[in-house]
Amino acid sequence: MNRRTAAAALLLGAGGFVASRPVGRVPALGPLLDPAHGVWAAAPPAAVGAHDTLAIAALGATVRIVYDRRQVPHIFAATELDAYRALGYTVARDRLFQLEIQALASSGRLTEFAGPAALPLDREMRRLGLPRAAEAKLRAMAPAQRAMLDAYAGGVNAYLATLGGGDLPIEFRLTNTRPAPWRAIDALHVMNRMGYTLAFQAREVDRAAAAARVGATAAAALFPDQEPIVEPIQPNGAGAPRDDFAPLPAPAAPDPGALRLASAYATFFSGRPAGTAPDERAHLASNNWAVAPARSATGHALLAGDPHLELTLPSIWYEAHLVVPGALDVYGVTIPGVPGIVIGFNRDVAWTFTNTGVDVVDFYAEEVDDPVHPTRYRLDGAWVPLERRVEAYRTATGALVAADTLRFTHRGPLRREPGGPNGAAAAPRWLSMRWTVLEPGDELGAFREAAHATTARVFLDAMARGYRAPAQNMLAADRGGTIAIRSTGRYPIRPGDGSGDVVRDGRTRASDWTGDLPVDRYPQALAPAQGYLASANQQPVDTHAAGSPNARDFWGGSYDPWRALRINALLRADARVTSDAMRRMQADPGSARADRFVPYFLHAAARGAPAGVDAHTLADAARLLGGWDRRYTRDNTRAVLFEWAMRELSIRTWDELDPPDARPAPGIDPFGHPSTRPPRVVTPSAAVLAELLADSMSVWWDERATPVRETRDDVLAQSLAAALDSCRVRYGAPDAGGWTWRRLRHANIRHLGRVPAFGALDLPVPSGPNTLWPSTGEGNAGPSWRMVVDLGDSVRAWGIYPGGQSGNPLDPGYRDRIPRWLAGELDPLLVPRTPTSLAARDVAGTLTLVPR
Amino acid sequence: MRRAAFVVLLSVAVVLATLLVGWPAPAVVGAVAGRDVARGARARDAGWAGIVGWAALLAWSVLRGGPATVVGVVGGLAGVRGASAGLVALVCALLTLGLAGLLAWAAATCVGALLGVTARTRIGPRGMMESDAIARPAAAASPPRGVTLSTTADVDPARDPERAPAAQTP
Repeated sequence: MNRRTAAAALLLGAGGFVASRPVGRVPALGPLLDPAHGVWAAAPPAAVGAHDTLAIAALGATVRIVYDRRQVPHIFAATELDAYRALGYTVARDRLFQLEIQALASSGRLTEFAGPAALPLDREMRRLGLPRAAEAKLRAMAPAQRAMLDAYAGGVNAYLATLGGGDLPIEFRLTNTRPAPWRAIDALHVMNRMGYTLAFQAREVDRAAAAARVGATAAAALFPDQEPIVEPIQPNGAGAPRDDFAPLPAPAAPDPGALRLASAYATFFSGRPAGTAPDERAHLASNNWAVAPARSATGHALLAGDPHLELTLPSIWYEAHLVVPGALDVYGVTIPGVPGIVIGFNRDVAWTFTNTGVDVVDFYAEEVDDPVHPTRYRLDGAWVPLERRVEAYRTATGALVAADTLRFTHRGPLRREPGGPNGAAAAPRWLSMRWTVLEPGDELGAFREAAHATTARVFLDAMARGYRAPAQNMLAADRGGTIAIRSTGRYPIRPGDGSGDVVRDGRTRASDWTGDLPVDRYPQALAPAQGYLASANQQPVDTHAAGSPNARDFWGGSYDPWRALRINALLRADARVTSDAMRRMQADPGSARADRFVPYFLHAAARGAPAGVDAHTLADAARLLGGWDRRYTRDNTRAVLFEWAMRELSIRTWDELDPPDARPAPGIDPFGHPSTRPPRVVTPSAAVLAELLADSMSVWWDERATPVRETRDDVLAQSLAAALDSCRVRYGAPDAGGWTWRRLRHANIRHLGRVPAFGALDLPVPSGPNTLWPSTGEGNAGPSWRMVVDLGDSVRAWGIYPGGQSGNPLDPGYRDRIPRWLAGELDPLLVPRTPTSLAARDVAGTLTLVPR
Repeated sequence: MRRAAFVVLLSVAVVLATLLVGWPAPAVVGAVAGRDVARGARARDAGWAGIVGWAALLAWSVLRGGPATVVGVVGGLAGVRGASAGLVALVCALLTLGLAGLLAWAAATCVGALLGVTARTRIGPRGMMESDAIARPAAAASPPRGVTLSTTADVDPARDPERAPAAQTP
């Protein structure tokens, strides 16, 4: 072998190796650079033609799909099953990668796409028992719902069958993978994932963590079950919010035993640590409201909704219209993978949801027969066999990444606590968990039935029959002028005091849930006298309302009053609400939180500078803050000062909750910048901070690190002055441009596969914490779908989500709606009654599916 | 002329093979072309065929997707925008073509050498050639026993008389 041959052999081997293997975050160069299949070939799929026809299997009759100019498919079918089959086809055509990645992520099989790096995510899904629960739900599913799932899967797979290698979405090309056939159970995995996202609450865990620092009594006040600002979802007849303020008990001796609950939570929810500031968590929120005809300008019921979820490209939502003549005519948004319209309207009723947030998860300390490899657990004096399940995690090629043996009691998954309660000396426990998301429910059937509803009441009753989790504040309005709301879901009744904030004794069935709240005790209102209804993740029930049948029930959870305060204030101020006013409200930059706190800052500054605070700085800060209209508009230059002042205020006020061994740790400041401030154990909500404002001499105002005892006004003045100093250092002079909100607060809509080029980043938004369009420093969550419906004789609706119908990053329809979403605009939604009802200018193409 | 035809033929093969088997296609075609290299064709022509084939596919794909969009995606994958994205796309395009050329040339060289050796080993100890369709042409051009053919794998002695003797020098 001469040198040239040796060099060729070396280059061939090296080239083949480098081209076939990913290096770090760089994908394998071969598939990436392949000019026929790789990144170069990432052309958009051919648009639907004017009159395309395709034969697919299992179709009962011809289905016509008319794509309107917004690329929304209007599906006209002879049967509902054909409609769901066609929906599966259209979703797969537009969102194939999303279907695949969501199914893998929600079933704990992400390693099959992303390799061993995804193992922690997969482990959490499986250890929580979510895939097992989906299997159980599928086995128990009624035939009608199972037929829906099968039809939808058939539609997805019919599209897959037409897919050539050149048609694969770019994400598959980059990773050299192919989508797997869609299975009926995948829809249940996706629905369970929504439960994972929404049906949990960490308030009890926050309270436990606080108790470990300042004692149980103080912790109960810092993380109360009853919110101090009362503006409930179920109207209490007051017609105005109420402050239920009381002095906060002083910090007391730590209660380390409280950490047992926090440890139990961490044992199961390893990927979602508790202890983050509630105001930062609140970005996964939602708004909805409705007005009765008496309060609307059109004389019709009006409904608005905007669920706030993680913002991704492609969006979590896909818009569709399903028509089966004489049987079904429903328009709205569906979650890709789920056969049904989740939020939307038919010709008679419109509906939208917000998250309820009630505590629906409990933990039990179990006694097992073996501390390492248990096979039985003790229950009422007898040993009961554990259900065992081996979970294998594999790569795309089937190679084993890891395997776990999981165990389940009759309550749910059983896990061994890692290392004792938060590292305490106590022996590790075996804990089981009960969670409504893992238990039987017929959410699919509820959606299917509710889509046929003719009145708001019928809609809510249909949902209540089968819908269990995640509990949602379901708002509906109908063409008859009725507005109604019901917080629908499963609310377990616990033994004892009914609260869910202890780790219960698993050795006895007496610790088990004793039943569920009946529907008539759900938070609800039908045609209220006030003529409007609103929910925005606030506490659902005023537990002090006289005569309320559910005031004595347990409504502990994670709540946020600020958006509800703002919505109700706007609705009370407008007796003739229009659909356009509702649209403006959805992007309203006002803030009830700022309205509450700014006067206190200004008052404190007016009293003069406390010791250690420069009087000129304080005066300047007060002048600047006083000139703010308390609106988070893009061009305002004062919100940044307020947010820094709130941050300083929180730091100074809750210093008792700092960890005893505080060390700098990487984190994110309110504007998304890296921060090394030691993380607080837990942070009470701004509502509790507002409660504290009413007590100017509370011991909580005192900063432990200083020799003097501070009062409220001292801390407010210090915080405001410090905020000005911080802002000047970070952003320059107040009017030099650096304080402009559009430079500081952005939405970041990331691609599902985290490919930067496929995301939409750094989008200036007119929003802030707790505004109706809420935003946080990371900017990765917000209004995921905005909808307004006018329920007149002929339904009119408007809607938008940040993204586009196409899941192909190279298609203009991938992100075409983002500019209008940013501007707070809504698109008119076209609702044709027949395939030929749309004007020619509104039709982008027609696809006819015929039986094969 | 024959060289050009050889390159064109292989380029078409590269295009078809890429559509069928994906990115390893230049290596596959290069390996197949190794038979001709063993007969005396040039491995570098196989390399050129890889480049030409992928250049054609690249042009078609970029035109189909829209050059601006493709540049945006390629630049975006690298985390840059604007003019830098264009530069990154250009570098990636050169990398793409370079990869094709490299794989095709290296495979052709290696297989050509291998077949050459095979041909040599199939020649009997007295220099008699066995009836082997692959080995026959190479054997016809092969030197006496003890002379390695691999040094001539890149050279067609009939068309490159100046280099061939030197390369064949034991």
